[in-house]
Amino acid sequence: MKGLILKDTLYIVKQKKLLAMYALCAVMLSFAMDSTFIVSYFSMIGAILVINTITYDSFENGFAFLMCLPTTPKKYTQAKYLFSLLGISAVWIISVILQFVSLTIRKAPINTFELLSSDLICFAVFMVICGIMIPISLKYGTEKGRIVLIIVAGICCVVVVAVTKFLTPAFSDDIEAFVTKMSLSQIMISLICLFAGLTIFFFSLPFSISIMKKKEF
Amino acid sequence: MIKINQLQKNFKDFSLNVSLSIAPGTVTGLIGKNGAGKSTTIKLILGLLRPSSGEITVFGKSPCDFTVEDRENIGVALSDSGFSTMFNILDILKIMRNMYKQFDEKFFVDNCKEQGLPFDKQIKDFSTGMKAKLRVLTALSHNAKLLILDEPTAGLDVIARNEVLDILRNYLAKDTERTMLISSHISSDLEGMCDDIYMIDKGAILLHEDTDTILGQYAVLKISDTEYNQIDKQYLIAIKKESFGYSCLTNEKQFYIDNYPNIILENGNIDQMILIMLGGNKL
Repeated sequence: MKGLILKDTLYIVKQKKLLAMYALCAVMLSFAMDSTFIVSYFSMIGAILVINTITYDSFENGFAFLMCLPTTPKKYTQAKYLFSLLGISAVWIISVILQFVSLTIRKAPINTFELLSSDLICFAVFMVICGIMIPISLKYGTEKGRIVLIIVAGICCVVVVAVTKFLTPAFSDDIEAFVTKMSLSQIMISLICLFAGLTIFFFSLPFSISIMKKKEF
Repeated sequence: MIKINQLQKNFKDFSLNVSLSIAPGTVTGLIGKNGAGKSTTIKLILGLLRPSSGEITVFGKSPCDFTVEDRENIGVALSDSGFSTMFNILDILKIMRNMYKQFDEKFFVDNCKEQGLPFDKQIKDFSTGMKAKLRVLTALSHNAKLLILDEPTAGLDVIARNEVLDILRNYLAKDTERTMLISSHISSDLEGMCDDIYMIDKGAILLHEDTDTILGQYAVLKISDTEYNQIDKQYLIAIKKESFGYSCLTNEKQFYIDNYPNIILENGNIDQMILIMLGGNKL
C-alpha cells in the first residue's frame, strides 16, 4: 500500500508547473476574494488532482501492469481512498492556514468558529465528491466518468430543487424548531456535515472494491 | 508451476481455448503470429482477465485468489503496459523499494547503468529499446520464482533484441531453478532459450514440443508433385503447396533421410514450422 500511495504522490509532485500555477492563483485570490473561497478553491484542486491519479493509472493500459505488482484490487482501492483522504486533508489544512494568514495580513475581523465551520462543510463536500467520483472513474474511466458525474449532478440538482420547492416550505418551521430545540451550534452542524461527508466517502469504498474486482484489464 | 486445463475465454470476435502445463525450472515459449491469443493467455494466467470456463492454477491456486505474496513471486513484463511514462528510473526505484520486499536494488541499478538507461529522463522520452529493457529489468529485479514476459522484444531492432535476450539469458544462467514463460512472434528469440515451445494460432494450441526435438527431429521436405505422390506420408505433420511442388513438415527427419536419400531436406527451425503449419494444411 505504501508503494501505491508513493506512486500517487509522485504523480502529483511531477506536475510541478501546474502546482506552482495553482498555488500562485490561490495566493492572489486569497487577497482578492472572500476568505472562504480559498478553502473551497484549494479543496477542489486537491480533489481534481486526486481523481486524476486514476487517469494516470489507466493511461496506456497502465492498470494491467499495476495489477501485476504486489497488490490486489482491494488493496489498490483502499490505497486510493487513503490517498484521497490524506491528500484532501493536507490541502484543506494548508488552505485553512492560508485563509487565516490572509485575514491577519488584511487585518480583517476573524471569527474562528464561524470560519472553521464553513471550512469543515467545504471539506465534507469534497469528501462526498471524491466518494462519488472514485467509483465512477474506476468503473467508466475518468473521461466517461465526467459525463456520468454531470448526469449524477443533474439528478442531484433536480432533487435539491424539488426538496426546496415542495418539501422545505412545508417543514421549514419544524427544522428550525428542531435546530433550536437541539441547540445546535454552527460548529456542531459542521461536525455533523463532516461526519456525513466521511460516511458517504467510506460508504462508497466497498462499491469501488467490487468494481475493481470485476474489472478486466 | 502453471497448469491450464481446457481454458476458454470468449470475446465478441475471438475465442481462446487452450490447455498447457509449465513445470518448475523450465523456460517455455509461446509462439504465434499477432492476434493468435498469446497476450490473452498471459493475461488469463496473471488474473487480468477472467476465464469464461476451464481452470488455471499458478503456484497451485487460481489467479483470482492471488495474494500480495503470490504477486511478489511473479515477475511480469507486458508488451503494452508498464509504469507511467511520467516517471523516470529514480521514481521507479522509489516505488519498487516500497512495493517489493525482495527488491534487488543493486541488480536493478547496475543493469540499468550497464544498459545505458538514463536515470533522470522521463520514460516517455525513452526509445522503444530502452522501454523494453526497463520493462524486463523491472520484472527481473525482485527475485521472482516465475517470470512471465509478453513479447519483450516486440518492435525492437536486432541489436536491442539481442541485448534484451542477453539480459534474460544471464538471469536464467544464474539460477537454473527459475521458471519462465515468454511469448514472442519471433522464433529466433525462443529457439536459443526455451526448453519447450507452444505454438498458438486463432486461440488454439497447434503444437507443443521440446525445442531440442524441433531442432533435432523436425525437418522440411521440399518435393515436387511427383515425389509428393510417391513418398510415405505417415510422418508428415503439415504440408504447404509451393510453386515447385510441396513443402512438407515432418517430425521424423531420419525416416526420410534413410528412405528417400534424394529428397531435398532442410533441418527444422521454428520459422519454417510456423510458415507450414499456419500457412498450409495440417495432416
